[in-house]
Amino acid sequence: MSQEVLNIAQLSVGVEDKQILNSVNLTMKAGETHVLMGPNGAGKSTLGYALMGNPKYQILGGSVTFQGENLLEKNVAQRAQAGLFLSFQNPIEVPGITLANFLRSAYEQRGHKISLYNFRKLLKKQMDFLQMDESYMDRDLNVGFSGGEKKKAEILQLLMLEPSLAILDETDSGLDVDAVKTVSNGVEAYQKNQNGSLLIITHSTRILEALKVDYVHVLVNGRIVATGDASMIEEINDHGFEHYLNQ
Amino acid sequence: MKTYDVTVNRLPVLTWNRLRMNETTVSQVSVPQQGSVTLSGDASFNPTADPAPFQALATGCGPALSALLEQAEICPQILTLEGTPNPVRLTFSHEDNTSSASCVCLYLKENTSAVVLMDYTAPLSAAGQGTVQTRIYLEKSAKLHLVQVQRVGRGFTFFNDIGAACQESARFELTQLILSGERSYTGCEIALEGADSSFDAGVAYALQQSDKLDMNYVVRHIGKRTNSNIDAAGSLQGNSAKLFRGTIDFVNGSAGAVGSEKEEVLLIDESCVNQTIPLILCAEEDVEGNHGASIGKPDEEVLFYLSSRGIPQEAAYALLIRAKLDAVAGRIPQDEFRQEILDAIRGGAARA
Repeated sequence: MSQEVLNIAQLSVGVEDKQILNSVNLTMKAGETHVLMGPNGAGKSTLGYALMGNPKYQILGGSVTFQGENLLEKNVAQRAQAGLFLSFQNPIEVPGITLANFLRSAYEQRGHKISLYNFRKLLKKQMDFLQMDESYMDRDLNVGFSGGEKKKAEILQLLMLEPSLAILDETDSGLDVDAVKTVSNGVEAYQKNQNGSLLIITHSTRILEALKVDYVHVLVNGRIVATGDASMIEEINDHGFEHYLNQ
Repeated sequence: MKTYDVTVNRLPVLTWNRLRMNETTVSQVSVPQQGSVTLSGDASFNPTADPAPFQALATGCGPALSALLEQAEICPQILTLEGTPNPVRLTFSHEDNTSSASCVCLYLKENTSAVVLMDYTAPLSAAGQGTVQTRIYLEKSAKLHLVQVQRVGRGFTFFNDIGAACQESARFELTQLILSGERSYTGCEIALEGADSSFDAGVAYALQQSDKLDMNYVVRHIGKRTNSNIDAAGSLQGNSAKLFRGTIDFVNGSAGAVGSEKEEVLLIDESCVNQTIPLILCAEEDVEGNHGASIGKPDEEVLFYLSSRGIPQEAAYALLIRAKLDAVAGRIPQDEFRQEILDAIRGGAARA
């Protein structure tokens, strides 16, 4: 029986005095892929940010256990070091810090000691896999990257940092067909190689085509109103969220 | 040992006294001994060279510092460069509890293109006083890239002073990194005398604890279509304090000249003090002067992003501090020295 990775119990979250999430419950086991769907403004990204510990989001109630430990007691960096990863919908540009230097720092924070040569070799291997030009290694993090390259850079970080649970927030948005395929390949590789757990926040279904989805949750007005298997994806694709709005 | 108060880095045009930015008086300055300079590369000092072209040059720190060097009988060492020599490296070594000074004069003949690397060193734990004054004369179409790296002891008071004149189409590039030193005074005055001459400076620093950095950059646009650019970037932590004076002076007759100055300052702690005084003087109508500044605390969104990858706040600050230094170190045109300085930065030479 797979080990429980994440347990969210009665989680309520607010931002700027407005409650966004209301008593959310969600349990994930190692290697499982969960998909969180819902209309705009339902609170999907809020859940991702709150789990990662963004200080803008206040925890109003409930608990979150990650790999047996109280996640909410940890600061952002400790959550990441414990194995949690959030792929940003809009990755932040950081002038002055190259992608390689940033990733090496993050890599070393996980206790890995690696020579610069071996690190760059490893990085190049993953960049090749994601069809990223090697020159991005020495470019300032996300600065001047196209939308597609920013998303690839997020998946590159996922592959390099090998978290136990990755939350992908609209990773497929704004990507063309080829880029979605490349990103999907990266996510699939993470899932297979790491036995990683995935919580995929998405509007569309394109990124899900190559992945084995275990559960689908529908979030409406800050509440999970339905949970089912992968067949729900096709149903939502055909009929939208209207059916869930009044639940 | 007798000490003096020395006033340096005076603004060309004064502002309100109450701001205390017009100039800086440095207390307890001792009369220095002749400093030790090691020269590597093909070039050598020329003891018989004529010092006349350098004597009239104004420097950024100003006449009081020059007077102190005269009083101390610091001997100017003249380096004449011609053609395209290999990069010249000058190492200024400083010992603990000493006060020393050097004056180096660089003369670049017509069409010369040279790289000069100046490395100010001392054990990181050392205290003392150091001064390097560099006087530069660029003949027509000469090109100089001067790199100055200050990595002296944490208890050092350091004066780094430059005065330069550029003739027609000459180009002076300056790369400065201030990695350590308790009290640092940096002055730089450039006279763009010849038409189409230019000056480009990239300056970076990282201050911590009670470090003080006092800067005065003055570019006088004298010739037509002269061009200058000053980019200064750095970080302040603890109780450190920084004062940047940047003056672009468009002298009557400098038609078509363009001058820009830009500052980026990262304020890590509430207790640090940042002062900036950009000054654009204009006695000519057909010129363009620009200044801009980005001064503030690290962006919260950036910190969250870095933290979300497991980088703790202190390490994230260190990355952001190092980014400012790395960007300027990246300008160093010689691979070996550039890598040495990048390694020193990563190894904590700037305590980043």
